Amino acid sequence: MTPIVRARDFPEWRSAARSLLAREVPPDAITWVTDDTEPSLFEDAAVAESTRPASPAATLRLPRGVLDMLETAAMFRGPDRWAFLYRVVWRWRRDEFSVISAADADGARLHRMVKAVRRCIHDMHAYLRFREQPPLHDGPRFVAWYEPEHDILRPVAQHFAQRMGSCSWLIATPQGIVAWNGERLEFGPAAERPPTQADLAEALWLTYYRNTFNPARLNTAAMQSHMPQRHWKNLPEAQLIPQLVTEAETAARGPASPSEVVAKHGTRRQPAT
Amino acid sequence: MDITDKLAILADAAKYDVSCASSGAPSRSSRGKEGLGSTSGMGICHSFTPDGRCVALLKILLTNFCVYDCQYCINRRSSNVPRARFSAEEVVRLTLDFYRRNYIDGLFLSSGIIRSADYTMEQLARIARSLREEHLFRGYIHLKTIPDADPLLVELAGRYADRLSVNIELPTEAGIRRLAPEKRLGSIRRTMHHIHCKIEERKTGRQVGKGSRTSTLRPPRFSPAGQSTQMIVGADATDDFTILHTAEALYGSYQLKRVYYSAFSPIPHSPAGLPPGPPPLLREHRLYQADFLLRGYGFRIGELIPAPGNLALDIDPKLAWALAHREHFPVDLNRAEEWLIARVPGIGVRNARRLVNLRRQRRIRYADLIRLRCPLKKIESFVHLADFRPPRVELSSETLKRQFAAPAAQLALFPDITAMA
Repeated sequence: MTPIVRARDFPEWRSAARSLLAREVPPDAITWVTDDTEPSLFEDAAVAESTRPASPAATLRLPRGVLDMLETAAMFRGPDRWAFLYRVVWRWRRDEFSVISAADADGARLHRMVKAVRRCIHDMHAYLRFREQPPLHDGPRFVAWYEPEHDILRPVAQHFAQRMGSCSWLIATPQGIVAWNGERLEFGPAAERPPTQADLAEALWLTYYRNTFNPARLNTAAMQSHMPQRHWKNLPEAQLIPQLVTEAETAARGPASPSEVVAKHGTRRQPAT
Repeated sequence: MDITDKLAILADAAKYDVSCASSGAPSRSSRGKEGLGSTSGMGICHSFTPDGRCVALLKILLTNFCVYDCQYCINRRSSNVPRARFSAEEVVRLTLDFYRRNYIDGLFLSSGIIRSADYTMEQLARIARSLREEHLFRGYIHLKTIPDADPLLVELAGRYADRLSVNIELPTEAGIRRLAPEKRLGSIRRTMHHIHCKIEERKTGRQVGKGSRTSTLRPPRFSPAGQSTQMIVGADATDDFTILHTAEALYGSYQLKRVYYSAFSPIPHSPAGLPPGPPPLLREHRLYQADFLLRGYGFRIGELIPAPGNLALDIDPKLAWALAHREHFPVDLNRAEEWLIARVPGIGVRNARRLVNLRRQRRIRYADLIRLRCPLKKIESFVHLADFRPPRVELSSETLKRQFAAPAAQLALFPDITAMA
């Protein structure tokens, strides 16, 4: 009988995988379910039992690096991630160590998933933007909205807890929210997008963005390859891009200063005699 | 002048310093502590401007008033640009506000020289101190260092900054004398040397030059992300051969983390004697490629540019070397050493390492190259495997070069009309 195994996150998958490997169940014989419905009659009883602490005989020794790769790939929001990860550890168990090489078919997919998740985490660290709430507002002081492609909220929350120090903040995504109250992280289910408004600091940021750009070096291809357009909708500075590009093109790559600076009055100091 | 105008002027004035790294700082965290900011070894680019350059730090001048008259610089004293000056509090406030909103990873602070080199250096160090000690800021700080400043002020700056840099700007002493009359190559190198010594002191835990007596106290933290510098490309007639040799000498003598190459950007009302054309971006790109090959692939300058002259613009330096040295190819990927695999056009250091690791498990096959996403059109003339050999008709280097050369730039049909639009 095909065992049906529930896995919704990495720890759950891990204990299920241990039990399945111990019983030598091959990958194609398993059906993985990920939703939160009531446990069905057919759900594999042996795996359900294994959520208790595993006995030493059931553990699989994996090098730290491989375990990290699996944990990272588990955040990849793909249709059959748990089945695929199980196939990887199944092959590893049979001493097919090339399964983690990027030149192997499964290994290449594993590396792609890891790379995509790492890229997604890096993008969220980079492109998330906080807005400060008005002073008398109660609730977190800084609020951000972001739409990640993969399930990376947990590691990213740790990053911002280290970065922001003691002030309170909230990050909301379509899949869930996380808040920091100065002492602890609290995760919560998805909620509505919180309303926020721009402030003086954001206006200064737009000024800075406009003026740090060098029109004599216009290179939208490079910009788009680093910062694809799908990120632009939640970046306040992205609204400036079309105008900056047009101005730079029509100035035929002339002087590097934007028009607002060139238009100001200059100061020249007389050369020392 | 209000802060928006100041920021416009001083961000515009700072963009010619191309260093953008926010990496290399030791790990710091503000979790559960007063203050704010964190660093890991890796830097983050928080945004990109339409010139393709990354925005990782708040890169500003403290002031663009300057008593020097460097001909290539938009802020030289004889230039007629609007001038402004930030107060220390304004710089601190901007840095903290931007940091909290996740726009930046830290501050990159430079300045025109006002009153004296010492006075200017002191102002920069004071701002860094205020950020670190009053506001407990643990993010990234990169401070420019003024070459003639007192060594004690440089030491003070290094205590608070993650990286220091002194820009050599011009690759030859003659160039510096002609275009930057107030600067001296000697004092630039002395300052680089001083920074290098303090960094080494901290690393080895011993005071340099104090003989065999070792101190029991570790020397104070100093510029943990090292130092870097910048050279302007195309402001004078110096060729790539000289530029790369200067870079090699700087890397060797002062253990610089990076040398940046900045294509000379035409500035408004630039003085006669400076080229008026558009910035030599492709030349700058080839220099960066050559720089990476020298540092990461074990190439020597003599292999990339055998004689005085410039790097080829139409093909990259690694391919140029391969085409000039066909005797090494085709490389048998199942037998060759790692450094030679890394020299195959289309295979980089990382894939070379992966191939060598895979070799320990089994033989490498053509399908592996596909999965490693190697550009097969480029590689095929240079490698050979059990199930793949180069095309039977061996293509000459000239033919290959034409195949891979970058297409010539399309000239605008009506550049003047476009300019007037």
